Amino acid sequence: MTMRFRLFVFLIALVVLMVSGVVITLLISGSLTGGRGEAEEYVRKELNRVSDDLDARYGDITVQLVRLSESLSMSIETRLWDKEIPAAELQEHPEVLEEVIEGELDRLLLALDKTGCSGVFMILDATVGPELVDAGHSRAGISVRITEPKLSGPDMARRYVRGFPGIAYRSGFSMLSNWDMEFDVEDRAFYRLPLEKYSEIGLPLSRLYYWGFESVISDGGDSMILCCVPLIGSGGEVLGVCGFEISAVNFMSDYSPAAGEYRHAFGMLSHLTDNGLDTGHALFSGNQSASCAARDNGPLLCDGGNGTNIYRQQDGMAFVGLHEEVKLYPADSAFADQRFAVALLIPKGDLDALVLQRNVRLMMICAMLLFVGLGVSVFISRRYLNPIMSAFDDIYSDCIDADAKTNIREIDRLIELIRVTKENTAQSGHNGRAGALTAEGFDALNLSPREKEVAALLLRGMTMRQVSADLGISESTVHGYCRTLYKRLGINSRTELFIRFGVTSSDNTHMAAKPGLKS
Amino acid sequence: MKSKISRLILAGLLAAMLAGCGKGPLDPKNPVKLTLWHTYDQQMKASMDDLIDEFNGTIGEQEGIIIETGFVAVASDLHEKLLTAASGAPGSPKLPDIAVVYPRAAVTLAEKGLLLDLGEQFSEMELSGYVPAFLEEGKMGGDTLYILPIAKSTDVLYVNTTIFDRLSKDMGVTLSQLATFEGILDAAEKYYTWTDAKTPDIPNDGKAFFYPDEPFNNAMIGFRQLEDDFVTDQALNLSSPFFQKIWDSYYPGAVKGYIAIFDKYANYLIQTGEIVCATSSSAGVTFYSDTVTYADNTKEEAVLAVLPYPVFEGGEKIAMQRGGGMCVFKSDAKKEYAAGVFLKWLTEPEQNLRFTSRTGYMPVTGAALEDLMARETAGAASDNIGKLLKTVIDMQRDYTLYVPPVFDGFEELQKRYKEDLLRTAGDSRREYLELLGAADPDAAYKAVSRGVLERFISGDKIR
Repeated sequence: MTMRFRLFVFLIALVVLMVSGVVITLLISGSLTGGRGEAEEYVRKELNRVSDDLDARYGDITVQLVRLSESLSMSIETRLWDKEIPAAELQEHPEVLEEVIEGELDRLLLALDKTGCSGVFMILDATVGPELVDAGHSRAGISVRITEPKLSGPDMARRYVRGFPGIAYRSGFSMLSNWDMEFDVEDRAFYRLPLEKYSEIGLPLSRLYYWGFESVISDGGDSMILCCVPLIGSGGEVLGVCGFEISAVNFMSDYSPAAGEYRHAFGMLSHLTDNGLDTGHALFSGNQSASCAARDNGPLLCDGGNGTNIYRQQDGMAFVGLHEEVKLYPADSAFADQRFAVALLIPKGDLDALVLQRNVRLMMICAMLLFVGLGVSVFISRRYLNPIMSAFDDIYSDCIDADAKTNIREIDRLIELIRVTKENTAQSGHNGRAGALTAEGFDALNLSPREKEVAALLLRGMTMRQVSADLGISESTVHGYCRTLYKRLGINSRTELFIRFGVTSSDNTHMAAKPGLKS
Repeated sequence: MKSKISRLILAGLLAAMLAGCGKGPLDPKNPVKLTLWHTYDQQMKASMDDLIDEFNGTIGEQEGIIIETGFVAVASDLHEKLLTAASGAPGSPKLPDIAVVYPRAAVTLAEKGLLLDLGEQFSEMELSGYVPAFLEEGKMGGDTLYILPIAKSTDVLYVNTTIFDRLSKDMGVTLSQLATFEGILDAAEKYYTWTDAKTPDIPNDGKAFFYPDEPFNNAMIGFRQLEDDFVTDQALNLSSPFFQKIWDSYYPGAVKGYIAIFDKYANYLIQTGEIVCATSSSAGVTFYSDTVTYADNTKEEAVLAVLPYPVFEGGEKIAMQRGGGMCVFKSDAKKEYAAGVFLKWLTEPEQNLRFTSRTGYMPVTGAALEDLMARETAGAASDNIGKLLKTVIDMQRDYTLYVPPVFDGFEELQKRYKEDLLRTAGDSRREYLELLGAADPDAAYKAVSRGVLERFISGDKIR
């Protein structure tokens, strides 16, 4: 293996070690999990925010609704008493319905403003046309919605969904194209269930309110969730129902998750069933394309997971996120068996792509580091060795330039030694001794007599101890003389000394015989 | 070696620079959010919502733009909010980035320096694709394009043919006579008589037949049909001899009960069976139900006919050019650029036609209009929209669409005229009904109408 290759391999090993160290550090610190931890943190944070706020707000809505029901019931009864009509006979007096309903309009609108809901409605258990064919399921009432998305502030434009047209004209409401005068309550759970439960169980109003994913009108347009509670007279008579609606737009404006990196994240309020999150009865917020995909493909089954859950649909669409049950009913409510949950979800494909993107980025950085390291290794190994190799070439070619330097001290000394040795060898060809330092040369070194003695003994092959014993001086003194001798000769070792004096092992005795040298 | 490495590094830098070129000022990783206020409510809202969702999921995602709907309301409410926001009064909402506006509101906003010159975001080539008349309206009489046409409309005549056919059978009126205002008045009188006769025990309780949704527009178009101008020098030209014709097309019928006195949208009265026909915006077609619900909650299917806007006898076929456009509020370069990208996409023929086929609006580019004319009503989202589009295509060929003048105070002028006219007619109607017990209808009308027109013209309104 050449020196160059050895050096190159050494440098590469160093680079690989460093890069591996970086990768291992990233692995241990979890950075190479590519942001799954961050996604979990984001989901938890947004879910907590939505869940807490929704809990509080929807709880407040139910409180407001119960109060509204109580005040409406009292007010309606009072109006009927003024007309000498018992509350139980409301159905027999269709001629008063418009006046009664219009009389409660201000109360309804005030409640709507207080709750910030999308709409308010009141449906009386009576109809304008009791002789008509559909009188069995047609009910008089009023439903008013606000324009959404809305701006803050009062006096939002109001849209009239159901009710007497005269009320709309006099109140300045816009009548919707799907306006009708009365409500069709046939098979409508929001109307039927609270009244049934009241009849069966007789619970107080605070246990009879009903939440449902439906609109007060069957062709309601926007997805809605409504809360509905019976209107009960002082004698226990059923007068009708009243309630609030919250539209998907309303839900979206209040509960959209912060987008940031997770552009397709969306929130969901839905029924929680044994089959999972019921996307068919849900409101969605956040990214619409992702939530539409979820909405149209059946319930979301929760698979559990590490930190976050994986939710899968029948067609294989998967989402990553978390959900939390929301208590919309007290434990002793007539509808306590209905469960709701709020969820924060990200399409799994999106998250996987994000993780892959991050990992690819990190890997590319590591690869770039490796590549740069390779390049630097090649560069250094060449640049560092070039002058050395060049000097070696000169040595091999017997053309050592006295001024040639590698700027590496050790190498330059070696090359100098070799150059001198070669010169001495060449010179000794004239003097009979290759490379031998002559007596005149030895004297020209200006050594002290003791230094000459030490040099002679060393050249004989004696050790430092032997020299100190022979001369009767301490070893440290001998060392001192050696240091001075080497310094004057510009050498570092005994071997160089031998070479300088042109001495081989067989020449030791001969050197000792030279003039000026102690034998 | 050195030179090789240097070349490599230089090439790498160049590649990195070139990779960054060709992109706009937007960054998909940090999308720009734009707020939009618009007037496309109810069924139209679903169409606009779908388009916005599609944009956000495609071009928006690629370019780094998110469009959010901030407010939806009828034009008058939206204008009020825009002007409030523009005033900067305490508690006023923040101006949106893009809004649907009509020229009458845009002129005020432009005078405040709030609106972007859309010519900065559209090239000449791009603007040449729009119908010139629609673009001109967006310049509001000047050279700067402030409003980009999105969807246009005109006025048409909606007729409940279920009721009309019954009237026609008994009284001989025809749909073709509804082509003129005079014909409508004749049919209105016959309808009143016909409905009055249905309750022989209750005299003078006949029903109204007709309602002009916007009396001011009716007057303005009526004048143009008769080759005069209703608004001159920013004031009403009531002293023109043509105003008598306009007056006669409304006031007498209103007092006698043939024409409804009402200050809201015509579709309310058609939905409740209180009138049979009305002139109203073609953009309102989705607000007309297939069912009429009467005051006793009985229902009847209503088959709607959509006819061209009536013309005064001897007059030119002229109708109003209606429908707002979208303006962009000045903000920063990124948002303005993003708004331009959205508006261009929205008005591309494919998107524009999808929106108009679901709403009854007219498309705004030449290419889209030709496409619509070529395939007529194919692709319309409902029968009523199909009927409407057919009528509008015919009107596009046969009518001249009139663009009303735009000046500060125009809206106030319009509002005052309508209020004064309705109040005058309402007061006269009440007096007329009181007199009917003692006098015959003609005599009662003569009594209540004496001097009313002169006082109306002079500005001295009956109270």
